[in-house]
Amino acid sequence: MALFLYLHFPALQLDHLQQSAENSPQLPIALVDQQHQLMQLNQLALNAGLKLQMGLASAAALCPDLQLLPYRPAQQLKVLNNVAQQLYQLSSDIALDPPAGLFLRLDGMLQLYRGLRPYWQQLSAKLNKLNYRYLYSCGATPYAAKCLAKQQAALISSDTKQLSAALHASPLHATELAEPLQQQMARLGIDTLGQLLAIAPGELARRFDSQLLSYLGRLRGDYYHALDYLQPEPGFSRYLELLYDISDSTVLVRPLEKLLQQLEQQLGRANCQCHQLLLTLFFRDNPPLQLCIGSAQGEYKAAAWLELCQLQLQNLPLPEPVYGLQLDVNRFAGQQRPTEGLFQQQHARMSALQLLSILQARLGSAAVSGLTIQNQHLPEQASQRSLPLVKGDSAKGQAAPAAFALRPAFLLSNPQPLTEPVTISQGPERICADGWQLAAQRDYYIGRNRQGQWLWLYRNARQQWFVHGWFS
Amino acid sequence: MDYAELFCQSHFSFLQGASSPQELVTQAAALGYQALAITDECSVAGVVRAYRTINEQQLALKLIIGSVFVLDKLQLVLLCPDKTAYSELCRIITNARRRSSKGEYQLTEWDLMSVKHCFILWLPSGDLESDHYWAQWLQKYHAGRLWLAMRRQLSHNEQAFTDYCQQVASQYQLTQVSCGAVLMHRPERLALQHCVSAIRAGKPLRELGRELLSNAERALRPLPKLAKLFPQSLLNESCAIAERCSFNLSELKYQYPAELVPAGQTASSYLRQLVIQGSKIRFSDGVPARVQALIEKELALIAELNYEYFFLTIYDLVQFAQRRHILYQGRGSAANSVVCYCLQITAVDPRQIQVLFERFLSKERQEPPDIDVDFEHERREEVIQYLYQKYGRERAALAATVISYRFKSALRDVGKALGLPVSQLDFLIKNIQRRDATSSWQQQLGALGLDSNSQTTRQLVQLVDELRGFPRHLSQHVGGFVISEGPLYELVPVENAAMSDRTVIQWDKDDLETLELLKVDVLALGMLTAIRKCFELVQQHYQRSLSIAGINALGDDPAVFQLIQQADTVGLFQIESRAQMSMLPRLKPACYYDLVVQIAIVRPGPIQGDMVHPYLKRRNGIEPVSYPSAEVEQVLSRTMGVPIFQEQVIALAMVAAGFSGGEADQLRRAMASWKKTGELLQFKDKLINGMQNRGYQLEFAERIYQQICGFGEYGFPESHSASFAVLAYVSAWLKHYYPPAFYTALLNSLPMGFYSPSQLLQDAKRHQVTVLPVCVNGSVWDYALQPNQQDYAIRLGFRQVKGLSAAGAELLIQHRPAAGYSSLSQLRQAGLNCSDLQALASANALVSISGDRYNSRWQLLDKQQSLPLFCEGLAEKNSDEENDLASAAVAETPAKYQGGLLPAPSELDEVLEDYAATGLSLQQHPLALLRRAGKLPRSTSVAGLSAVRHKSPVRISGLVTLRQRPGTAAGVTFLSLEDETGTANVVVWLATAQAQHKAFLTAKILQVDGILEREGEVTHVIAGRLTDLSSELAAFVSKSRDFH
Repeated sequence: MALFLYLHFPALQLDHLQQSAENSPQLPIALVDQQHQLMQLNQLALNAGLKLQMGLASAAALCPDLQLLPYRPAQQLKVLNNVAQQLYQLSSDIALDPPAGLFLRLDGMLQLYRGLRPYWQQLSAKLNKLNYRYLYSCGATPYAAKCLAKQQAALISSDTKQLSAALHASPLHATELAEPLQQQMARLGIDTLGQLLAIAPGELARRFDSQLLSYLGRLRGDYYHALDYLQPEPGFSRYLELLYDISDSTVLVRPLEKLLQQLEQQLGRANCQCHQLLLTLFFRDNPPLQLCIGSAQGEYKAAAWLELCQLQLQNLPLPEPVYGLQLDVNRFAGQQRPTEGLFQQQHARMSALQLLSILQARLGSAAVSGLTIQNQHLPEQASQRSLPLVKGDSAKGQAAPAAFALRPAFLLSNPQPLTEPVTISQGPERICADGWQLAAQRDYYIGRNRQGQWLWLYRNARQQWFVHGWFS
Repeated sequence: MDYAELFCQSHFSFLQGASSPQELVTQAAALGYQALAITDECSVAGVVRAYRTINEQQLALKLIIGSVFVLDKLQLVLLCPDKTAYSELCRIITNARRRSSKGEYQLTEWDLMSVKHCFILWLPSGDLESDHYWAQWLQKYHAGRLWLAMRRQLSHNEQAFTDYCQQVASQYQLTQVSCGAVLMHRPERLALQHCVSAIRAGKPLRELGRELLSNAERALRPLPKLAKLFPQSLLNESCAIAERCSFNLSELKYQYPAELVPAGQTASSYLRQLVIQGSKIRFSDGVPARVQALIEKELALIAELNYEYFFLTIYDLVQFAQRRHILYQGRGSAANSVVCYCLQITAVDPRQIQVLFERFLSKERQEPPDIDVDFEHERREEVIQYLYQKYGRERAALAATVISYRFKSALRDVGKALGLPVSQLDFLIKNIQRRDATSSWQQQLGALGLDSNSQTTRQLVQLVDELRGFPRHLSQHVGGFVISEGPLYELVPVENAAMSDRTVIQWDKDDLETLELLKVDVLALGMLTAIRKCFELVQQHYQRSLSIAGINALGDDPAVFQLIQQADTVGLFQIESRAQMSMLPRLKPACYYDLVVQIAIVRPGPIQGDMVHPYLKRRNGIEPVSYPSAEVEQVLSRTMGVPIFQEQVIALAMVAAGFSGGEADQLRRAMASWKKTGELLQFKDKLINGMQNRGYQLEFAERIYQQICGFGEYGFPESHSASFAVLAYVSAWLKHYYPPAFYTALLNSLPMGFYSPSQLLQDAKRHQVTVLPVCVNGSVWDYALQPNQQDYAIRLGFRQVKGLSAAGAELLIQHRPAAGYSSLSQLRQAGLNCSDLQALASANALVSISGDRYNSRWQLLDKQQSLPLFCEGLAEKNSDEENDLASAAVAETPAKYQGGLLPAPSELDEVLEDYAATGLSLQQHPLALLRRAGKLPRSTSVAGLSAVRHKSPVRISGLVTLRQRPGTAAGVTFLSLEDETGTANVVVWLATAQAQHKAFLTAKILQVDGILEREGEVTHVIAGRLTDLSSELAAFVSKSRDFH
């Protein structure tokens, strides 16, 4: 006989958030969706009398210090997936039921664990450790288990009679039936699954569409209910014990190359690449040292990765000889590189991204940045450092002609007082970008000094003169 | 040095200008400008306010009327040198506006070509091709009236642009003139200007960057600065242009439609003739000499002020209503005149109430005549269409209402501009209690999680304060029509309203008043509909013909006033609210004028001015009636020395504080709009000092001022109250003598008034009126009277059935067999669709043909019974396959009644279903069921409260039908709890409500433990403990379903 377990997590995203911010003060929190409905509540919010699907206004009135955070289905799914991955270590057939549930097929596991009790002991221990609120129940079919779990039946049993009795007593709002259909049933005086199941299917077929019949069929187990069981996530994790301890970091490249080749093979099989490696070096006495090596454009070739690793290892002082290496890749990224044309000559050259990776590996990522034009009046804000190779808004094709106002090629980050005589040739251009600080207005001029240099000057409200840049 | 600013936009260029016309003219005058042109974009909506400010403050500044237009890359300003040019401008704006939907405009080249009188200031764009095209074009058509407007905004590369303009000017022989393109009256408004720009762009400020103004140069600038920026010749030119602009708004003279007066008569003689005719109808046994004298006095005054046409226009309107049998009633100061009584504009009989007729139109108060006419709310549109048809769309349009930023809208828009998340703003808006007297909204922001020291919060607070009162858009006035002799668009621009087929002018009622243009108010009133329907029912079923004037003429009826004194006023006009009901037994109105007072006294004005208790005490003889002076006695004698009405307060300002007529009129206007503008404050000192100087006590003066503030938006004049009292009395009379007809008419006129059908029917039952349920064979669309024993019973109409279409109900009634329907298939054959049938089943209207609602629905669901395809709606929804299967099965199982498959609903289920399907139940009250089931231990019923002693503890339970937090009662919420015996009043103090938030806010059925308090015949329960019993009901029915 098939047996299923359903786990329902009523506040997965919120519980996850609270765990990651453990030390923050205890406040009532609610997640709200875009329609301003409460989707998830923490315990304090529940204590204040808030209910799911409540409107924001009544919620706020009930609980004035309520904190609101957006409900993010994508994040919720991520957490759910993560929970499933964790449980996968204990139970093999797990199917996601977004946004908040998991189906677990048990009949295969019972033999392994020698019964339902021991299985549940292990599983619930794991669940409790995860520390997310959950509801659960067994059922003879996936839908039966889900229906029972949603009403907090908490049945851990394979007793058909008990499960069936509980199912028949279930109210319709615990089912998967669409809200309008549930209301329709209520308006016929039908409130429980038992009442519904007692009516001959023929009578139902004369009155309702296939949605109801197919649900009831699956619920009873008459129809096959296909579940999409979880596949473990791919990744790469290898440990290499060195044959002899290595004290020179440059020598580490050799053994590392082996690992990287293995990685290349695995990436090749999956037609994937990856953006980041975690390299861990193990020492006898000191704690292991972890290096993170990134490639902005994504790489799969061992040679390319090796080059990047070399750059980092070159200057790395080792506290003592290394005896083992571990290489981890947590995530494989999409498609492998576009196949290059046969006759393209670019092969040897570096792409901008490759150059960037090398610069970052060499100088540290903080030392490399780009420059973008910002849509701002104030010269200090009109250009800005940005992530390298990220295009600013001027490149989005929406810049007004004023975006290309005449500005000096070299802008001083701190304007210098003007100390030499100049002749003004253009101006003033008055800039007062902040309506709150009229006193901070500046009148900009273009002037020329005796050496013939073109200066960008301004005079502030106190009639003081400054140099802000030089024209080329 | 002299300068005239010829290009200046006020905040009537919505979300561009950042200063009001008033601020702009005041500042321009202070800076010593010679003239200021208000040139809003395709609009003259702000000019009257500027005009009024200049006149009121007697500023040495010339106002020029103009408007700025944008057509692709062309931008130009049109200015009006004279009245012809002004009419031309109005016409151009009207055309451009009428081409587009509300709030937008579309200018065409043709519009520009048709300019023959306006001056044109052209603003080059910098785009070479376009500028040369337009320079040529403009020079070709408008030489001599054309200037090139030079701006200096200290923007980037301005020198080059200036040179360019000069070159264009010399190439096309254009004279240059300086202009400021002003958007602000002071540079300090830059932050607000940035903010409104962001609102306009629909983006947060920080994303706008260079789209914002780069500096504050678009403010009105001091003359020395302008002298530095512009060559003298350009500045001189601005004055030369201003010199040539001689048009003044005071030249606008309003011409009434002449067709109202028959040929050979003057307006005056025709009005006199109509009044004499009318007086014969109104005073069938001869006009009393006193009244005749009044008529003469009024006619003379009307003639002196030239208001004949105004009265004739309204007379024409009510004549139309009479012909169409639309009930109406006039109100307002001019309405309470014998002339209006004779013209049948009102039904207020001068013999019944003398006091009113002494004040009619007043020369010294300088206020325009005020007549509002209320019509039946369901038929007002007929009157409006009559106006359009009679005068045409060119000559009749609605006045505008300027929709301004209020606190919430300002907070939302400023918040968005500052980049606060929308959900946070929603949260703030929902939680800020503007009535909280203990902390200001700024303080509450902190409590609601905004860091009150952060820059954003401080900016938010300041900008919200500045933005409040700024106009957002023009909307249509509820019913104020402007009608003229010639095309309106020569007087004022006309634009489209949001409603299709409606047009509004660009001025609101204050503007019209300023310019002394008259408007006719055509308003809608639900009670008139109800009264007319009741008259018809009485005529039809009791064969008695009634009219408002007829009932009035019967004199004050003690039996009717007894009903009013007992606060048995559910469904009556004006005196049905909670507050009114609690005041009625104390005030005990016993005659018509008492009702006039009653209606006006339960209002924020008198309450805030603390005038209610003194009046009660004096009326009940507890306090002697006294007057601080003889002048005051004259004003206040009819209300026992206590100012109750708006007119009295204005009159007090004149006699006791020495206000001139003009000042009193300003005060009246300020009262009407003070919530928006806060203008009242400027009168405070003058009022209080004035009264003290004349020997009145400070405390009395303070109270008068408080009352003025309280009147604010709810100002309630005696002249309106007088007309309302007539309707209140008529409705009470009908309720007393013809209760079934009264309730039926009221129910057929919903939505209106305070009460739901459920509450009205419960009140009807308490008056021994039988109510019959909705029935497929007994009901019609409306509620109806059906013979029942000696009297009539009320039969629920199909209109009460939620989800039943009017068309479906019509089919049902049309095809109903003489003996009634006997099966569902007959109904299907009549053409009712599925949702209509479902609605009928839900309302239990099918009980006679297919059993209770569960089994009726079960049968209706059966697809086989509905075949062959009578039921279109359902057939379409099914897949073909299912249909095939179903039709194959038809032969085997013949459709037959299968009643009893489902168990019948329980009694409580029936009640809940009744509420869900019709909003009411004629069966047991849910509270009665709960009581019977023992769920309300020790609860006293509402009827039982009369046996409870004053100040003793009591427990009551009931459906919460009303949560009301009046602005006048600080921190108090009134709850109405309804059970099977009636409705009880519960008072919840703020602290109680806060401590028991959850039950207080969410309970549908509430149990209250509290103390009973009784004052005279008024009973309240002061709440102590609140318990939510809603879940009891849910548990009781074993399923949770929202109801009521």
